[in-house]
Amino acid sequence: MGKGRKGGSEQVPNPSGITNRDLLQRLNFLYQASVYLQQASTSSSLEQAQTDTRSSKRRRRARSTESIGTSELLSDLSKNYAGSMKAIGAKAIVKMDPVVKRTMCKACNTILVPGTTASVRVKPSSSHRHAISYTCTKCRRSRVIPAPPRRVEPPSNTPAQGPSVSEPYPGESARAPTGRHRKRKRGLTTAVPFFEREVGHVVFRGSHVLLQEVAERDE
Amino acid sequence: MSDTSTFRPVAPYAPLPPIKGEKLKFTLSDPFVPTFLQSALPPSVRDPAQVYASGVKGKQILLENPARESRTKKLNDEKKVRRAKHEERKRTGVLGRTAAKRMGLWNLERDVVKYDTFLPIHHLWLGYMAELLDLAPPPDHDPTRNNNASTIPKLPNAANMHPKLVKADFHGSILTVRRSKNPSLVGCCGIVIHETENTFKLVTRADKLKVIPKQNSVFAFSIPLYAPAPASSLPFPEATPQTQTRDHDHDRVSINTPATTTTSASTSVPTPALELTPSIEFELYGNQFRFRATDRANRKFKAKETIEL
Repeated sequence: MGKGRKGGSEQVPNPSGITNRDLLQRLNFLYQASVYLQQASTSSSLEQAQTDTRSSKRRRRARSTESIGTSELLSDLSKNYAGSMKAIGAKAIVKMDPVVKRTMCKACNTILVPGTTASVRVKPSSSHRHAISYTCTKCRRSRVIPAPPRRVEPPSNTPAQGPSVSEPYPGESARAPTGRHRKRKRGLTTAVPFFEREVGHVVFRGSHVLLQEVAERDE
Repeated sequence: MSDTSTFRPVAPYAPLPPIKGEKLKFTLSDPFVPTFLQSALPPSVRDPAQVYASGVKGKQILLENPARESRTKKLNDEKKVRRAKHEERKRTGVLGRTAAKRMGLWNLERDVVKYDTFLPIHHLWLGYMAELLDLAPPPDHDPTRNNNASTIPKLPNAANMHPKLVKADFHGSILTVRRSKNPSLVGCCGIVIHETENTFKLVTRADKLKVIPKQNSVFAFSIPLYAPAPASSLPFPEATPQTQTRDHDHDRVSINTPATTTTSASTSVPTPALELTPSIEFELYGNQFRFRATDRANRKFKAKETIEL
């Protein structure tokens, strides 16, 4: 969540001066609760599935309906919390951070956890070279987010060689590119997005500083 | 028409000759159809005039087959409509009723809730409250100092808390029904797992789900006076039911959803033996709290007096 994040460098940033701070805190709480419930839901369904393999058939049936009830209930609650997050954000015009927003299914508000409630695939994209699609396993709704290759930090290096910090796909760099390929890649790479650059973000928890970055001056 | 045009030289600017010929000259006395029938019917038909009188005269006859829509076109159109509907639904992210049922939305009625599952949410809520209300960190753990000096001057201002609490989220809080028109609800206590416009859904310690209407009841909830220590957050302390907190440092404040504050601060000496933190208790008037949880986010609450209950 973008709460408490400020790019101010000269004056000491003050977390209490943020507009709608209470709403942001509420969103934060709801998000955490929602994620917790989603986890509890998946773990309860898994747990029941493990015990089912051992128990007898009749007991298994009785058990499984109960477990389905529990996990469904928890996931429903989780969806409800996430939905209320959305509703609060829309009502009070508090923007959720895209990073948070993308972890919720657009259609059914399930918290998308890769591997359990979301299947993540890298797809070729004509305009961005790569796109990552997150498909909700509950409702099959997919959200495709372009993931163009990032520009490598020292621009003099050939982008295809040498692992670097900002290279998102190490597998991609191992492949030896043809000449045409390399050209295209250079044209399409984008800079690191603003929120990932080190420009002196300060992260607060409550009112005390959790993390303070040192701003890079050499840009 | 034919004999004149063949012999004359063509005069392009001359007016068109009047159309001659019986074929196109229809009068009531000499209509076209009977004469046409006489000429067109095969000779085996004996009385064409009678055929005309019985079958044709005074009836509407379609001279051509009606234009018929081809079946494939119809199918295509249906498909198009269906697809547009589907796209629309996909765009807005709306689930149909059958789809929602299949996905099992909101069958809360089964008694499968566990109190222990929701206890972490309660602790999360306590942390949220501490952050929202900007509670002070706990003073030294030395009980003697705790009693005498540091607790009493640090009592937070309850009036500042009210507008924040009214907008806060109550999922995860432990609510107790203090007073109610329905006497069987009084004393019901549990973690709020879902809040609707008119009800709170609580999970009691006996793992029962209770749906309690907001109308005609007064709820109570308590918030610890100090923020939970960050280190001690891992082993969750057992939540204390409301009835036991009475003997602690105890500031009874009623939120009359925005307004009147009957602050009857009764500061008693906290008992360090129980290792329970001092807490503030608030009262929540359900009658004035009947809004959806999401609507409260930017709602202007007005001061109202509660007369009945």
